[in-house]
Amino acid sequence: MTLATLRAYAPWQLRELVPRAFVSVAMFIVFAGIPVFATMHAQRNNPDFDPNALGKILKMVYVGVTPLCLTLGAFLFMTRSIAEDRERNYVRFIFSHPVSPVPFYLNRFVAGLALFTLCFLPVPLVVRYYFGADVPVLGTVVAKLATLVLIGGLTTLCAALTAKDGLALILVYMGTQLLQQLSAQGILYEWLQPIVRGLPPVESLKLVVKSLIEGTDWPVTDLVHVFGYGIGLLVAGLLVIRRAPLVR
Amino acid sequence: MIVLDNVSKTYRSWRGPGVRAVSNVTLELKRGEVLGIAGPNGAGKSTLIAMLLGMLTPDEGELTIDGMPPRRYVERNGVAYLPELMTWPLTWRSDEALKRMAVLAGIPAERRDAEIERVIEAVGIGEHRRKKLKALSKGNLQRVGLAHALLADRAMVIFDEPTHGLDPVWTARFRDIVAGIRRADRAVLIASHNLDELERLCDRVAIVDRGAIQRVVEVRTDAGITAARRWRIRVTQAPDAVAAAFEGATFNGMDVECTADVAGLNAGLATAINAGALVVAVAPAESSLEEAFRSAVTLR
Repeated sequence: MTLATLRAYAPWQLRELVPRAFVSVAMFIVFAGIPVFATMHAQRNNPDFDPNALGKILKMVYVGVTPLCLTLGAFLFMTRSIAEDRERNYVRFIFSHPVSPVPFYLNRFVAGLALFTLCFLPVPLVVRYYFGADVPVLGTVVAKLATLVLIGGLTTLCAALTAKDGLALILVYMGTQLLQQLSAQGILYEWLQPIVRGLPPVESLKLVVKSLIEGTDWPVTDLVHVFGYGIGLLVAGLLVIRRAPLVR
Repeated sequence: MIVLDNVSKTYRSWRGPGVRAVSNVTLELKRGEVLGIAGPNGAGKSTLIAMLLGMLTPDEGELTIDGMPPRRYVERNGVAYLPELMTWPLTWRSDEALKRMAVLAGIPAERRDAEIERVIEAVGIGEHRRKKLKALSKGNLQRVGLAHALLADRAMVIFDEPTHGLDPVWTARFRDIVAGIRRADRAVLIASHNLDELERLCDRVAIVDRGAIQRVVEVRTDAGITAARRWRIRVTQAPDAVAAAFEGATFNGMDVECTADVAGLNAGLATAINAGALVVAVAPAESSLEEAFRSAVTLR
């Protein structure tokens, strides 16, 4: 499979991903729009209400809602992609051509990463420059990338190993989160601690996203950990896809 | 070109002993040859094809295409493939689906439109090109699949139930297409339930049942034609004279069924005609492939 083939096929892959990429934007509009609209509506006849408070309210809502939109958006964006190719037998068509699964799915991952990030970009731009809320644009972009790289890598590995990638992702993500929270509180068996440290850095991702979206800090070490682990999971997933049967 | 040496595949299960889908298959398909695979449902044909495409790996034995593992061969050269079921997303348009596949097939951009036009013309779906796949009948969808298989010039062609859903006109047209793609440097494999189709198109037919090759029938040679077989003779008068000319013959109205080799058939017919029979048609009661299939496949 040549780079020219990958480049030529990328627009088709992007077209398939566009509807999913806007899910996080739609979630933001609903989750952030409703409380802000409700507040503004309730205060419309209040002469003491400061119109400049809108920016502060928006920032508060933005900080509260964005991490949820990014995480859920990444879940919905990544799952069922590879698994569906197998389940619906698209693999039989795609890979009867001189196409290797590793570059094909890597191409889809990279195209998806760019699309997912670009689709959400107008959100911080509009909130900052139109509504005047002090939200970090670059921080949001990096938070978005970090979320998608970790969740995307995890989904790729889950999809390579099982037909139920969504269920596997939820179980691994929630299980890891629970274990890491228990570990942080010091109420976990000692022998479990090294295992928990080796699990995907779900809690680190939460902290990274929170810091970047609040615009308080750039946690470089955690960021490297999250990106590194996500890329590692992606590579592992692609290696499994390479070795394992394409049809089940 | 394709060599299967004692190939076996078992689908394992957490809950039970698993299913042995392909069992000790040894087979060779040379360039220039059209090989048929016939077998009842669940015989192992689809598993065999999945292994030839490199999408499943054998548990035992060795499968090579041009000396390479199938996945490596397909990734380097591609295979013209028509699957049993067209499972493309039904929201795709016919021409859009072919365009995507032409990209994956590695057809250069400057030739892509011309190649798509060629296959659309070849399978006669010009009027359906702008339609979404969900708007196509089963036969037309199958023709889009056939167009996909004909897109690129490949040395290996695999058709899985190619005439599934096609009307008689397009079934006949499909035979012309296969005749057209037959080439000295190309190997064609056709899996089908339709024995008549396989008999007309293939050089050899491997009869598969319960995962194993039960028999390989040469259908393009004269072998077997001279052997004794069952014949159906239609007359317009004196069917009793025909029945009397062959030992153990039976007749129903103007149709007589008898068993004879070619020499015996001709001698019997001469006797019957001399006795006043007027013969309209003589045909094998069933083809040699049907006979072989019937004796090779266990009824379940």
